[in-house]
Amino acid sequence: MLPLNQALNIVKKQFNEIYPGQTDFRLEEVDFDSSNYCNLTVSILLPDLNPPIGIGTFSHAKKYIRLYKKVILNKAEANIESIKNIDAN
Amino acid sequence: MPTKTVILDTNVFILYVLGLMEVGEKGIQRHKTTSIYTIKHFHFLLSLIAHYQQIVISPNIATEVDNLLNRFTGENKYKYLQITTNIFNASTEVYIETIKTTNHTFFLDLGVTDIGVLLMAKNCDLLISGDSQLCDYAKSEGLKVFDFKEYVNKDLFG
Repeated sequence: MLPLNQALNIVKKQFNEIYPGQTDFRLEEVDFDSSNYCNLTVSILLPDLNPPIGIGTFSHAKKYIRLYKKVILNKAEANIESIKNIDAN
Repeated sequence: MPTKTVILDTNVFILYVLGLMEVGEKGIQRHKTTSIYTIKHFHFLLSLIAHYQQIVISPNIATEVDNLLNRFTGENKYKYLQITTNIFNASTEVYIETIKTTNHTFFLDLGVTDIGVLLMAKNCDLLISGDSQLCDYAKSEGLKVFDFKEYVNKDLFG
């Protein structure tokens, strides 16, 4: 059985490769049951490359955006099956 | 001496209720929103709250908590009703008009409840939240916030 710590390290390593500019990698939620798969919800901070334009939003321009991803991991093979976008709310 | 006030956001509020219900670590982790928390984190939350005299809630937070938790049966149902009633009786409830949240610059990203929490936090001594995105925004607004998910991640994974 793959321990949670190890599972998270696999995901973190993959995210470092996909999103080299990311910071603040976090585990948000976990479903680590007895099946062969575990579902992890993780989040990362990325520089906001498309900040909103306009006077109304000028003072509230964000430097970073937080992305939430749902990761399905195969525990037996210790590899990632899928990564999907999810909404924060 | 002024009363020190603390806001518990939905996610952390659920941990607070489940911990007081003594559902155990498995009971806490059975809920999606509190799945990474442990009993130790509940006790840490209690120690944080102990520095404040008043918990501040909003109707939106209370509704979210009730929608997510009010599915117990038997003994746990009774415990849930008793504990939440006690907490709500001892809390201050702040009402923020929905229109104030939908007109807010951050509405697109955060939604009604979280914007309400941000507006309430301007008049409170501390916001404790397990919502990473809400914490990002609260920090960017210069509000005093305890980022509970950040703490738990550091505690669990270093």
